[in-house]
Amino acid sequence: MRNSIFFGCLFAALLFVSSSIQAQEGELQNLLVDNNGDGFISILAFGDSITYGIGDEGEGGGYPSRLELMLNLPVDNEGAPGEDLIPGGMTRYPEAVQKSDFDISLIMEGANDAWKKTSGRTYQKTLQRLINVSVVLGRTPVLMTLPKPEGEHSGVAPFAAGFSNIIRELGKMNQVPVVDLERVWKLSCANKSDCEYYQQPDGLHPNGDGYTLMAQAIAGSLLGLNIFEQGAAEELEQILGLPAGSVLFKAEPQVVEVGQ
Amino acid sequence: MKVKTIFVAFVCIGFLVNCGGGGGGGGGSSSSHGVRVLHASIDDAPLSIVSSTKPEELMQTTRFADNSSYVSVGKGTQNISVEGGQVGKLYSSNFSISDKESYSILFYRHAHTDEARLAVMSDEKPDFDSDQSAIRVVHAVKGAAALLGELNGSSQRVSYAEGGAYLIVPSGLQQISVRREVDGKLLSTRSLNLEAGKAYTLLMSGEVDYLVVSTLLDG
Repeated sequence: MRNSIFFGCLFAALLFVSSSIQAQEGELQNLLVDNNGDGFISILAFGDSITYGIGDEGEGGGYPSRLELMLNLPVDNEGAPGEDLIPGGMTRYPEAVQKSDFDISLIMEGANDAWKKTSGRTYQKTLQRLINVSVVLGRTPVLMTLPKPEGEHSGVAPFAAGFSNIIRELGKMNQVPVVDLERVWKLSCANKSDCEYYQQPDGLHPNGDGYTLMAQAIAGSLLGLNIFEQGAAEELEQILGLPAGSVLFKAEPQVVEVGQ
Repeated sequence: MKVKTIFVAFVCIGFLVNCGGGGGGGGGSSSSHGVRVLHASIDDAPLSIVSSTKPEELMQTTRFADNSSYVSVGKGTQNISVEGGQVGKLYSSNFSISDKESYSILFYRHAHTDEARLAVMSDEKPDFDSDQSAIRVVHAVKGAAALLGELNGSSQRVSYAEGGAYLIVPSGLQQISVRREVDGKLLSTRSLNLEAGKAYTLLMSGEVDYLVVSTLLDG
């Protein structure tokens, strides 16, 4: 009971803060909404080994567990190592969505399809299907782009980049939110060819800090923050009560205009 | 033994409103007569719809399994075009509409070639008493050449990409079941509270053994 009250109060505070953010940001929205009106907000994290949290078994649970702790909301890890979107993820998705009354469905698939050199058209059509299934079942789909693979997986980078473009395009077509993890990685990795947020030499699965980076970027986006804007990391720290400097994602560099 | 699970989603008006799932949006105002587009392709993005009689005006936008309403398009010969997503631009065949007529344009994918298509269906209702209702099934479920709709002791066969004739039934609570004709596989069963004097369309979409969606529409 005490837990329920605590979570209720915390969530009300989060909603209040994020509503303010929404007003400031215009197009960005607070996505943490009780869509089905059951009094709870819950999240499905759907994807492959990156969602599952490969390489993070010791610390626990990849980005979904971290996100759950950050938001104090249940996040169900439905990551399936080795799964491709076509046909694995596509086949599994309706059942995963209907397992519980999730309000939000985070979808990240494509790394294994990149290995198979799946055509962009097939990838687009199938991801569109997942969006339609989400919407028709009353869930808010949130798509995630694919960070650029490197190291042992550098060969699939062109396909991953192509899929990320398709994900952004589908986001626009369907007016569904996209967490641009490819851009997060690009901006946040200090070492551009050997990113410190990847397990190395793997270059595909994040390490512990990488999963934290993912969870923070997703949390910020769900709360309606423009995570690429200056000050967003500090704002997320305030909202979530995190120590200063603990949010890892980096903003777009400021443009300094000189002269007239 | 491999067990296949069929998921059936019941999408009704109330659900869509409560869950923010849809309702044809954008463009012209809704009407009791006119034209509507039934988006029945699970693999396609939302579509923008334009009537040839008002080419400068966005008539409607609709997404998969939406509960779309009629939009007045004026009378005379015309066609409907849909645009967006993976489709590019697609035109319906010409049809003639008068003031009091209604048409549904079914957007679907060919069962074998996967080509995007539009099918024009007249929504002309039969005469029925004020204590009765009328209902028909529109079939766009991939993986079924034909469906059997069973309601109030009668059965109706509907081929893929077609709409059945309206069945006249007593108003009130009615149980409707929809099966695949070839093997009798149950795809959907639901209880509907049919209002007296009203006609309905039950749009069946999705894919057998994946997700079958049943959307109840007015008219």
